[in-house]
Amino acid sequence: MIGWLGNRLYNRLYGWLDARLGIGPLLDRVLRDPVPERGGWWYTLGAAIFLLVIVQIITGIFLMLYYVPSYEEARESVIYIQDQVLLGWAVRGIHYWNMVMLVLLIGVHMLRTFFSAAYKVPRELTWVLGTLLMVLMVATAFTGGILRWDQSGYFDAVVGIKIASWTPLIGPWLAWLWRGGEVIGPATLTRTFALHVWLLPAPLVVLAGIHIALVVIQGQYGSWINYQPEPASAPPPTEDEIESHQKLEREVLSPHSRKVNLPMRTTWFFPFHVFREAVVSLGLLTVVMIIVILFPVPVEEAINPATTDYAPTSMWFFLFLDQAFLLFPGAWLIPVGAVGVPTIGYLLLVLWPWLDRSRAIEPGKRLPAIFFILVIVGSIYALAFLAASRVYNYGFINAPPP
Amino acid sequence: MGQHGENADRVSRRGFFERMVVAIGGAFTILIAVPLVGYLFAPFAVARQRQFVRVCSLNEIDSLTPKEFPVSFTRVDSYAPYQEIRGVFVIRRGAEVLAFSNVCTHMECSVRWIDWRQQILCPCHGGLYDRWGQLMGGPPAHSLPLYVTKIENGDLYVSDETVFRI
Repeated sequence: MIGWLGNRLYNRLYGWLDARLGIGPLLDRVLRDPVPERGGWWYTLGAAIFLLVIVQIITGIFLMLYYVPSYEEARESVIYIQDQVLLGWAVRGIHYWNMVMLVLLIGVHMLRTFFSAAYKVPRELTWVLGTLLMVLMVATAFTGGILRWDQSGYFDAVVGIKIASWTPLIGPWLAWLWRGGEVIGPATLTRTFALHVWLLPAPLVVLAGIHIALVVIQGQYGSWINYQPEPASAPPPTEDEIESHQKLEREVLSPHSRKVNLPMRTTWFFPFHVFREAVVSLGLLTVVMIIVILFPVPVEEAINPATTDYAPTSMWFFLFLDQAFLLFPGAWLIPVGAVGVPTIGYLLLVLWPWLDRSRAIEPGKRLPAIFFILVIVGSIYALAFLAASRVYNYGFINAPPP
Repeated sequence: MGQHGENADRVSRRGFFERMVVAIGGAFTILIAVPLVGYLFAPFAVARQRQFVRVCSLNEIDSLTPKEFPVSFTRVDSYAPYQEIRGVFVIRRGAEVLAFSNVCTHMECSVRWIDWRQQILCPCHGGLYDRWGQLMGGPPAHSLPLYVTKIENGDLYVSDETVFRI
C-alpha cells in the first residue's frame, strides 16, 4: 500500500516537473543509459571516487565548524576537535582516512582506464580532465595536511613552498605569494586554508562535473574488459531484443559515441549499474570506517624549527618522489628532480592519448603501452617502499649502533 | 571584425556594437583587476625588518662542539605580531665566533649534532656537515648558511639575515 501511494506521488511529481522543465528526455537519457549486462564492476570506481569526494566535502565542512586557521590556535583547535568534540575524532578520522582511500582509488581508476583504453578517440578530453583532477586532488590533500599546523604540517609547508619556488621564471614570486611574506607565518596558514577550502576544491568540483558529463554523453563503450564478443554458445537474440537494440541505436545513443562491438544485451544504467556502484562505494566506505575506529589520526607536537628530535617525513603519496630525489646528486635537485622529472612525467601522462598510436583496444594487442605503464607503476611502488623502510628505520641515528 | 556586407572599408552598425562590447568588457576587467592584483602583491609592500636577538653569553660557546640555541624573532608582517623560532648553532673557530643556521640546504629539515659521529646530520636524507657547518656529504649541495653576528656586553647577538656559504 505504501508502495502504491509512493508510486502515485512519484508520477505526480514527475509530471509536475516535466511540464515545467521538460526533464523527461534528459532523465530517460541518463537513467536508461544502456550499459552491457555482463561485467562492469571495474567501472564502478569512478562513481566511488565521486561519492567519497562528497563525503570529504561534507566532513570538511563540519571540521570547519570548529577549526581556527590562526597561527597560535590552529593546532589547539585540531586537538579540541580530536579530544573534546563529541565524535570529533570520527569526523576528523573519516576526513583523513577517506583522503588516503581516495588517492588509492584514483590510482586504481587511472590504471583501469589505461588498461581498457578508455582514453582513445573520442575520449581524450575525459582523460586530460582526469589528469587535471588527479593533480587538484593531490594538491588538496597536501594543503590539508599543512592545516594541522603541528611539526609535520609546518615542515610540509616548508617543503611545498620550497618546491613552488623552484618553478621556472615565476618560482620566487609563487613562493612569496603562498608564504605571504619573507618567512612562514600567520599569512601562510591563512592562505593555505583558503587554498584547501576553496581555491582548489572549486575547480575540482567543476572539472569533475564536466568529466562525468562527458562520460554520460559519450557512453561507456569501447572497452575490451567489458565488451567481449558473445560466446558462440549464447542463444541468438530474439526479435524483441533486435528491435530494442535498433531503437537504442536510433534514438538514445549520441552520434558521437563510438560503437565498437556493441553488445546485443544491454540493461539500464539505473538501477542495475547504479546497484554495482552502490555496493562498491558502501564496501569502500565501510573499510574507511573500520580503519577510522582502529587507527586514530595523530596530532604531533607544536611547531619548533629549533628541534633536535623531530625527523620530518613526506606525506605518504609523495614518498616515491622523496626517494627519487636521493637517486641523483644534490646539485641536480632543482633542474632535474623538481622541474624536469615531474614536468616530463606529467606531460607524458596528459599527452598519452596522442602518444599511444596503436589502433587496438585489447591490452593483449597494446603490449608496448602496457609494458610501459607496468614499469612506471612498478618503480613508483618500489621507490615508495624503499622510502617507507628508510623512514621507519631511522630511529638509530641519535644513538650509536649497538 | 567590424566590416560586414558590401562596404568592406567602413565599420557597419553591427561591427561598431561588436567592438563596443569588447571594449566595455576590457574596461570591466581592468577596473576589477587593479585592486585585486595590488591585493595579491601585498606581501611585497611590507617593509623588511632587520633585528638582532640575543643567542647566549660568550662563555657558553665551545670550540669543539657546536651548541644549538633556539632564538625567537618578533615579526609583524601579518595581522598580529608573532614569534618566529629558529635554531642557531654557535661554535668558536680560532679567534672568531661562528653562528650558523640549523636549516639543511637540501629540503630544509632541522639538522642535529650527533656526538658519537662528531658531525651534524640531517635526519631526512642523511646530509652531513662538520662542526662548523661546512658540507661533508649527502644530497645537500651547500654548507649551512652563516648568521650575521654582533657581540655586545659579552653576549652573542644574531640578525635574522643569513649569508650563503658554498
